[in-house]
This record gives sequence, C-alpha cells and structure tokens, in this order.
Amino acid sequence: MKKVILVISSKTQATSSAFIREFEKLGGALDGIYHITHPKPKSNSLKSAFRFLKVFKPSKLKQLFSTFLTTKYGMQSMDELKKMWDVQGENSWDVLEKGMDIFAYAKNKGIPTTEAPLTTETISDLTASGPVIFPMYGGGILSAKILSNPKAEFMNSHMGEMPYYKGMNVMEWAILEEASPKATVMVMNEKIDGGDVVWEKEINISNEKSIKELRTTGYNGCFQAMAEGIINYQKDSSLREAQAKGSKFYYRMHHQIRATIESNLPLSR
Amino acid sequence: MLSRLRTIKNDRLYYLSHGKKVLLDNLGIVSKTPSLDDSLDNTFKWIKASFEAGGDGGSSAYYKLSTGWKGSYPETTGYLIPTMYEYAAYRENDEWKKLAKRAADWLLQIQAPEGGWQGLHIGTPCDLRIFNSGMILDGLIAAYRVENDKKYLDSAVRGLDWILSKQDDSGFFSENNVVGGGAFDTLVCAGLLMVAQCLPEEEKQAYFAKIRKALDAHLTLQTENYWFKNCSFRKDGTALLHHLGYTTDGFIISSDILGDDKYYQAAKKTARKLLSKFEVELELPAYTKSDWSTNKDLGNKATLCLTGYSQISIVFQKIAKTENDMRYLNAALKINDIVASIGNYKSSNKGLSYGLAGSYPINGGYQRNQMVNWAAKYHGEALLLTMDKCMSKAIQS
Repeated sequence: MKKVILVISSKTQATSSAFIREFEKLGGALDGIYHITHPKPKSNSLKSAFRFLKVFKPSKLKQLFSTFLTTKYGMQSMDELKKMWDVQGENSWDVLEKGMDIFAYAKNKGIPTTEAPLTTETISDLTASGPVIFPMYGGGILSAKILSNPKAEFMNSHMGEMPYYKGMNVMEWAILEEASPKATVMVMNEKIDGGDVVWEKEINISNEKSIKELRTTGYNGCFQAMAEGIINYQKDSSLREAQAKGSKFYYRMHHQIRATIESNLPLSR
Repeated sequence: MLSRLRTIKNDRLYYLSHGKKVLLDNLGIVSKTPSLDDSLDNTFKWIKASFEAGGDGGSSAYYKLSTGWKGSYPETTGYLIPTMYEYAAYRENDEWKKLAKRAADWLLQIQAPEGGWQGLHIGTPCDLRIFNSGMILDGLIAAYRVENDKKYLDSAVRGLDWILSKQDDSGFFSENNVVGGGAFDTLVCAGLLMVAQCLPEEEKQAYFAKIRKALDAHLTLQTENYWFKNCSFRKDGTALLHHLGYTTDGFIISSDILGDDKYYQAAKKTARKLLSKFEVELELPAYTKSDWSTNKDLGNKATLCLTGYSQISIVFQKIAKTENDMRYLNAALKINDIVASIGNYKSSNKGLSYGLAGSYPINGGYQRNQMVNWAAKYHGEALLLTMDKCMSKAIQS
C-alpha cells in the first residue's frame, strides 16, 4: 500500500491540522510529516549596514509620496483599487481555527518527521522505500523536476467540481450558477487545477449566512474529501482518472456579485 | 531637462488642474471608486461641457492640455446620440433628449451633398470619411426611432448609399477611409445594418447582402489566435484596444441584426482572449502584439486605453447577457471600477472635471494629453448597460 506523507509549509498550519483531524477520524494513518524549509540567503553585512539608504531610491521616494497623497486626500492607488476584488477575510487562515503544533502531534503519535528544502533529492529520499502520496496545502505549482518522480504523487483538494470549476472563488461561482458545490482531490501536475482526479465529494450547504461561513464549510468539505480520497485511493489506484475535456476557468469574484450571493443566503431559506 | 520644460510650457502644466492630473496619473493614484450612479452622472456632466464648448450642437472632440477644447466632432457626436437618449430615459430627463435631437439636427446640417460626413473635427479641413460617417448612422437611427421623424432616416439612407458606393470588390472599405480601413469597419457595417433594418423588406435584403459581403471580408482579418490584423491606426503591427472594441462590438451588433451566429462567435473568441488576459494580469494594455503580448507604448511601460476598456466592458456585458455567463459581467464590473475611479477627478476646469483621457496615464501613447469625448461616451454606455434591469439583477450595490 502506498505510504502517506503530509507536506506542511508551517509547523502550525491550520489547513494541514484540519486535514490531520479528518484523516484520523476516518481511520487514516500518516507515515510521515515533511516540513518544507527555505534556507535563508547568506546575508551581506556591508549591504545590510547601508540598507537604510534604500529609502532614498527614486522608486521608494515615489512610493512614499504616493502614500502621503492617498492618505491625506482620501484617494487610492491603482493597486489598492484592484485589491478590492481580492477575497476579503475569507482565506483559510482567516476562517479556520488555529492549527495545532504538528511536530508535537507527530512526536506523540510516533510519526517520523522530516525538515528539508523541497528538492528532487528530498523527494527521492522520502520515496526510497516505495510509492508515496503527498497531501499538501498551499504549495503552489510544483516544478516539473519534482513532479517527474514516478513514485511521488502530490495531492491537493479544490473547492470546485473538475473540470467545470477551475480557478478562484469556485464555490461561490457554483452557487451563483445554481450548481451543487463539490470538492475535488487531484494529483498535482504542472498545470493549475489540471491534475488527474481521484475523488470528488459534494459540499453540503444549508444554513450558512455569509460567504465567510460558506467558505468555512467549503474548506471542511475539502479536508473531508482529501481524507476520504486518500484512504480510498490507497486501496484502489484505478480511482485516478484524467479530467474530462471542456474546462471552465473562473476568476476573483467582484464584490457586487458576491453581495448578490450573500443577500440570498441562507440557501435553506 | 529642456524637453521637460518645453512639455510644461506646451501642455500648460503650470495650471494647477493640468499639473495635478498629470502628476496623479503618473503616480498611479486615482480617486476612491464612486458608485455607478455617481460615475454615470459625472460622466454626463463632462459630456454636457463638451457640447457647451462649441455651441453649434455638436460635442467637442476633446479637451487638449495644450490648446483647450477642440471643434465639434461629427463622428463621435453621432454615436453619442443613442447614449444620450438612453441616459435621458434612465434619468427621465428631457434635457438630454433635447440635446440629442439638437446633435442629430446638427449632423443633418453638415451632411455633404454626396451623403457622407467629413472626418476629423469641424474647423479642420478633411475629406468625407467612411468610418466617421458609419458612426453617425447609429445616431441618426436613434433620432429617427425616438423622434419618429423620417428626415433622420432619409439622411441615414443617403449616408448608407454613399458608404456602399465606396465598397471595393473584395468587400472592404479602403477608399475614403481612415488608414485605408481596417477591422474596426465592422462597426460601420453595424451602422449600415441599423439603417437597412428600417427599410421595406426587399430593399432591406438587397442592402443586407452587400453588408454581409463586407462583414465576411472583415472576418478574414481575424488571426488563428483570434487577434485582429489592421486594427490600429499605427503601422507597427499592433492592435489598439479601442479598435478591438469597435471590431468585436461591430460583429456582435451585426450578428444580432442579421441573426447570423458566426459573427457573434468570432467576437466571442476574441473576447475570451481578452477576458483571460484581463483577469490574469488585472489590466489590458492599450496596444497588443499579434501573439496577444503587451506592447509598451510609454518608455518601458504599457499604458491603458480608457475608451477601449469601456468598449470591452460593453462587449463583455453583451456576452454575459446572451450566454448568462457571469464571468464576463464580473470582468466588466472590474473594468467599470477602474474607469470610474480614473474619471472621478473633480476640478474647476470643465475640460478636465470628470472627463476621461485617451490614455492612462494621460501622457500615454493614444491621444496623448487630451480628454476625449469618445471615452466618455463608451463609459456612459457601459454604465447604462450595467444598470439595465437584467444586469442589475445579478449585482448588488
């Protein structure tokens, strides 16, 4: 049976902590926890000593002057304007409860831990004894080199049905289009939301009264799907299937459309 | 240094209103985003000022930092007319209806005996031009429908006949046209169809056949990756967003009138490219190269074409409505936010107050240092479309 090594980017990562709880609840057992470290660049002491001079760079002065004007005259920069369309206070770190001390948990459960940069060597070491499933959260796009290891399968979960809801704010988009929101577990490849699908699970929406609450439900749906998906995939690797054709990509949802969705909540009403 | 001083002198940047506008634009600072209603009313304040500038019934082409208001512009006065009628209806304000009628009457007065209208603005000698005349037809048909007066239709038919008399064998309008014509002439086709649509069946079908030939010819300018050739006044092989806006909207309107989906599909393919470029990069450059990459037109920076932005917002909204695909409305709302924030510039100078420049920043490559009436027209139209019942159902203020 394939091993499962959870990849974490922080030792108190809320998403990974929530996944561990779901995985444990369903009887899953982790074979390892791998914390990705980022080696600090060597500091140049001479450069550091003169760092204060950066403030006199024309671009920095321009930025300071812009900040002064926007603050004093109640204006905004173009970047601030575009931030209006960002998810506001509804990211995983905003809505999930605080993560546990994952290494303390591992120690308590006797799960081996690894701390190393994400390199082909690290992945080769971790897969030396056989194929490994690596559930991971917030890792971004992995390099082709990392993905080329045939014994490693990196998995993530997505708050939308594939291939029809790729991209951003997909649960909200599904609700707007009166579709049932689903969580999908995928084996990551070099494309955004383009990997093979191993599991899909409906996200049950009922009494959520805000987008923040919707997203909390959505995240929990994703953790459950990931836990279920991995346990089932360990037993049956034929679950892995390429995505169907006809994908649709969604982007950050404008706040006025979000407001429309919010005004129609709860959906059970 | 000397050239900078010359710019300050020529563009009169020593005027507080001019200097402040150029400074803020170049720092990337805009006003807080106004409500759609406020932005709409403010845009029409600027449009009103553009009509008052000439006093002849037409709208001044632009306010230029160096020389102030220019003469009235027949072409853009023409396509301002339907937008003014729509605004009059939206605000239930007859003043705008009167202004629109006066503009249409002015266009009748200045129509050449051949049936066409001059290019450029009044006071600048110029030949009769196909593209400019085509835009005027839109206004005359709006006046004919609202005022129920046949004189506007008669004038439009004379314009239609003159334009079609210039069509070449391949279907294009290369004679008497700006830069020998281009993909943007699909909007001329749309204007011609609007006129033909008002005529008796037999006559209408005869005109439709000729216009179809033109549309089919212009379809050949679409490349394999749905970009358009000959879609700019520049000779560097780039496409201007404003002209992509004309081209795609021209195909959409034509498709609607003819009931022929192929023109709509052509426009949609280009719109889909623009949608993904906008959403990924959160901006659309004024000029794109044939592989859709950004062309830098101001030193090492790409500027924005505000007219093009609003036209693409309109195209996106039309697609959203046709297909009930809210991704297009989503992007249109973001574009509206950008243009509304840039245009939310209050000044005691009527030429600048709530106006929209050709480029952002104002000293960008397209219509450098001037506030153009066609940017105001398209922003107004984009907002009116957003506030249309169907769209407003999908959004909450």
